[in-house]
Amino acid sequence: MEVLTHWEYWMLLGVMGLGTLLMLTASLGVLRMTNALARMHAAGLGSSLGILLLLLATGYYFQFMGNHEKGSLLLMVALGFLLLVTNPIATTAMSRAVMRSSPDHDRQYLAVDEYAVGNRLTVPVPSEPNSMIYVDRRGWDSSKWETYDRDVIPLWVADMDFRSPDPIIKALQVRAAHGIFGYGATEEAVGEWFCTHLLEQYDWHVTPDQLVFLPGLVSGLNLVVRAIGRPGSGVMTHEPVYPPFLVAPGLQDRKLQSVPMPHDHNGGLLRFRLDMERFRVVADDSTTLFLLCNPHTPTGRSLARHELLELAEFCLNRSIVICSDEIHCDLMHEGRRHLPIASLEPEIADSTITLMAPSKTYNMPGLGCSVAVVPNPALRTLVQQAAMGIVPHVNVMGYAAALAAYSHADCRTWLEELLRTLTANRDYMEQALLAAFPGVRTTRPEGTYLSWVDFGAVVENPYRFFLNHARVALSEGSRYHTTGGHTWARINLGTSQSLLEEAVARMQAAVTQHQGS
Amino acid sequence: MESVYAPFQTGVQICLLIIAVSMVLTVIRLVRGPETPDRTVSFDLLAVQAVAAVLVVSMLLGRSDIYDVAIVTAVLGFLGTVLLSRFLEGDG
Repeated sequence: MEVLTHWEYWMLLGVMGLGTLLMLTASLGVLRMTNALARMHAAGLGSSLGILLLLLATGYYFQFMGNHEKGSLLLMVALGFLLLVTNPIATTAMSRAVMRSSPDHDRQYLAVDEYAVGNRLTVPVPSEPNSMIYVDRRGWDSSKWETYDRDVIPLWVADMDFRSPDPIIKALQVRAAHGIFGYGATEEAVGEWFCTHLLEQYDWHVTPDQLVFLPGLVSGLNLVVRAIGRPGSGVMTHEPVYPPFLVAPGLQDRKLQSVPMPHDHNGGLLRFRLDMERFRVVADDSTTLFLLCNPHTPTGRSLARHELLELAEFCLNRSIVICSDEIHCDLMHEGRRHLPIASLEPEIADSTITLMAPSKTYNMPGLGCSVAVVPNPALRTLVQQAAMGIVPHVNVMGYAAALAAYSHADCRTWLEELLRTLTANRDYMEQALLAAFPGVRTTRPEGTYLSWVDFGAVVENPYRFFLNHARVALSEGSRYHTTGGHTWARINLGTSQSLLEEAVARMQAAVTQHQGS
Repeated sequence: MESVYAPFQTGVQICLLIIAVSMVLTVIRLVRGPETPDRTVSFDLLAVQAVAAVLVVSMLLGRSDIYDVAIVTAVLGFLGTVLLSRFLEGDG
């Protein structure tokens, strides 16, 4: 009787083990992925590779084992080939079905088709001139709405579900109607209007030549980290913070020096602050850059003058360049005024790179238009050199929208109405959370439309729990920390209040059920 | 099967266990949905995993005749998925 050698047994076991682990991976993918298309790809890849390995192992085993099934290996190779050919066919059929069975998936394409046959695209007209218009974004290339299943309420990525002000939409329509989308020139008028905006709103004198336009804030952040210091230099920041702050130093071969933000609490209300003493301890000779987020994501803190001055003094004494992300600067609650750190003293401006954008304010992050304010010519050259050949220019549509945003008075009126809506949403969410979940602690954002909530008293991992049991998608707290932070979640308030009410009701029901069981 | 190397026998049993766990996970998604495409995906994966289980069992028992079942299951699984997809698209 022909028997396999031990070596062959172990080889077979290895192949089978890999095959079965691929099956397990496919199942985990199908269970954990957040939408149907992602699940389909996980299942397709894992199962077809897994079954192929198992078929080969079985064929080999019966071919050479005692039973002498001479055709086994050939048969199994043939079956594996059949499955490899048929699986893509099945997957393609399935993905088409997944795309089409979603009732609103064709909406964007239908709208474009309508335009093509000569019907003008119509823009809905608000019943009241300045009221916020909530738009159903399903089926419209939205990361926020398309990442999770249809039944999930998305309160995660930071954009809003309100239509941008009319002047911006009209400016884009006019620009599109021109019909030429060639290389754009840097729009000088945008720079002029942006400087006027800084002067009017923040009493900050900046000239257009001090601006560097960039296609996004995150690329701007990485660019600054790359431009300042050298490989191995220390980059200091505070946490919790917007995740790219924690990732950028590693990506650019720098050393992350992150200091936790302590918080005071008043009942269930939290207020975060900077830990200056800790900054002094952690900073070393290698520290060349401080990444500041103000108004702060995710806590919504808007730092006061004395806090900013203390931080600036610390940085100037150690020759640390400040990179201040102030993208939420226009979104301040209760008439509070944002203070750009660079506007406080000329010496601070001289060692500060400020990142701003109209994207959060007017809900247009998809248009990719940001600006770095760099008054110091030497720093500006460093940033421009680091961008050279890698970072593209701002696209023509981004400029068109930004020009409208800063030049048109109606946008300002729209913004005032938006702020009233956001403040109402913030107050609603604070009261609802404190009433619905005893022991839960939340921030009261001074700026931004984001709440930062500690659900530790109720559930261990609120992101997973509410996604699975309440079908509400929040931003995962651990991503805002270098370690831990699982009990926290960030809630996006930039949507209709009725949707927030529905989300809280679902979350409360899920917790009640969880505690009852 | 008296001549089969003992660690191999144990290994094959562990493989069967892993496939069983995978099938349970897939069934959870099948039940949860939330929509038809999710169930179609899970069903398709379940069919492939059933084939995998049959293959491993055939090795465990040393019976090559069992894997005819695998061939039939594989072909049926493929046909089932395509038919379901066409049904979902509204063509069938």
